[in-house]
Amino acid sequence: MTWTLELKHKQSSFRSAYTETLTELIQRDSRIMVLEADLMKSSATDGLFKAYPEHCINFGISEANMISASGGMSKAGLLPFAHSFAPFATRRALDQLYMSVAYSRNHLFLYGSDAGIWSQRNGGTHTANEDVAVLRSIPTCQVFDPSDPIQFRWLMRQYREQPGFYYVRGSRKNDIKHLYTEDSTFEIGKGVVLHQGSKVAILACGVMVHEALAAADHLRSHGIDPTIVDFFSLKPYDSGLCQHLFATHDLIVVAENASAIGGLGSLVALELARSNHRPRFRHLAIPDAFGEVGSLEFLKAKFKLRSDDIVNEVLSALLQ
Amino acid sequence: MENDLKQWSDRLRLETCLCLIHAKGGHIGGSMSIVETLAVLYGKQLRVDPQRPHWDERDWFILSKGHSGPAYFAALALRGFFDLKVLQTLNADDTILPSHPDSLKTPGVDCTTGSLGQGISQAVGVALALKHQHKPNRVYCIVGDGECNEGQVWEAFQSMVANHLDNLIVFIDNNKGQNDGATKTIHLELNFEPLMMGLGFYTQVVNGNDVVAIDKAIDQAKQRVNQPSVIILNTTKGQGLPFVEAMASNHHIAIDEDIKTKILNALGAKEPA
Repeated sequence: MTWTLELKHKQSSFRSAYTETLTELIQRDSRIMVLEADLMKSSATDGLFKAYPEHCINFGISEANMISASGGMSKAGLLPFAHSFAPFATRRALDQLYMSVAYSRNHLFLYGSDAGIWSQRNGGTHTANEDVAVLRSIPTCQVFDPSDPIQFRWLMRQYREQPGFYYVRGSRKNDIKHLYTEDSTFEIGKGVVLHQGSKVAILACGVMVHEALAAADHLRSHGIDPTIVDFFSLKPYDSGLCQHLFATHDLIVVAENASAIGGLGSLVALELARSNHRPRFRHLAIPDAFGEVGSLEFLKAKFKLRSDDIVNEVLSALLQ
Repeated sequence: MENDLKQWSDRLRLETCLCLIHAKGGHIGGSMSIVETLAVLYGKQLRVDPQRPHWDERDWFILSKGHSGPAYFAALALRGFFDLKVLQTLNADDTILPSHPDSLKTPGVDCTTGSLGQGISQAVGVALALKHQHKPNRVYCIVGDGECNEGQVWEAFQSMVANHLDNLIVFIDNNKGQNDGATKTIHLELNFEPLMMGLGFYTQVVNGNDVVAIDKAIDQAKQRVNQPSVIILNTTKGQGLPFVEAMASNHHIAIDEDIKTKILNALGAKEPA
């Protein structure tokens, strides 16, 4: 793991990272396949369908068929990437992910776009908050919520190096500020300690890493210097780092753009239950409720996922 | 060859029944109805090498109606993928022969099936991969008529036509029964021939009890270019065992001493040693 923070202001979308990295991988590896279920224009892979038609299959609106077919492709030696909106990539094809992919030990990079509040104007029907919990419970399935396009790209390259079943959730077309320089590398199962502070540790993944960093800026004005961890690897996850943070901090705050049931908060709480140390624990996540329609800022506010919500949680916990 | 295939299917029916007798029951109805088709595939048509189950140049076979595993396993054993004695371990602790086919457990099983509808989609994926790799290998897949209740089967059929998968030959085992009873009493009995023709398949209907007809249909299907083939097998659930065919419910049966004797008598076989 050799990452460095991006100090310049750079931003790009997950979908541009997806198509650019697929282009790079297709040029290097004949096994790469790009699978869509009538959302190539949404993921912007339509350019790939024109440039590399022999590497691309559009299955039409049939996610279950696409996922099982990806299993057959993997069994025959190919490396499939499949995309859909997170709810259709996961809920819609869950038994196919289970039997045709995981149980069969097939390889698949599954990109669930617009996960959690990223569904924005598509609303509750198109929202997946439970995807982390559900996919984490399937053996062999590795689950990631990368914080920026650089980390997302690294995961795509890593899949080619170490094939397996990767479920990667994230945003789609919004420009995301780059947290890492382009040559940064990571490690599956290892958290990234973005800033070493003291007393308070904020563990976050995906979009919430950005909110955690903003919250840390605010907290410093209150004389609080929190440790910030990018916990992008939700399975496997960094148990050792959790235990170290429990031993060295008084307050653990978890922030995630996913259901409060079964995600990052749950795994950290379980680690905490196993620990001899007893830091206080706070959890910001989407409650056991359905998604809503609206802007990103509206949804962040509604589900208390803003940097201000993290700040308030930290301050109220420390006052108790 | 005709006599050879008939002998193959007779032996396959017997070994499948002995496997089920040893397990004291199982999915006999749908296992019996695909015996002749499996005999033609493993006795003649499939290009496979039992010594190299993952041989790069092999033809692929996927049993989408995975509950008929016992007939599949018996065909693999007869073809030499493993010893016939292994058939006596069906569903036993630590067996390599679980109730439903598992590609990680059983030599010769190409894809894991059992959750209905998924095998045919996996077959689509394999056929697409073989096209991508410019390989001449073929893929064969059996789906059940009851399995066609699953919407995913029709998603896969559409993919076969849309992608011109002439390297994938699908059989529909039209035995007109499913777990809960006769297909027409449970859900909907489909008239497959016009449906499959309408989708754009090269469509043949054959007597699924006739090894020669099945063999010829496969030869015909192999000639098609840019068009997928379906062979609709008119079969009977429990095929070859008249008293099982006559049962009101024969999808999955328990086999006691009485039924065991009836099966062996029907096949003109003796008590296994």
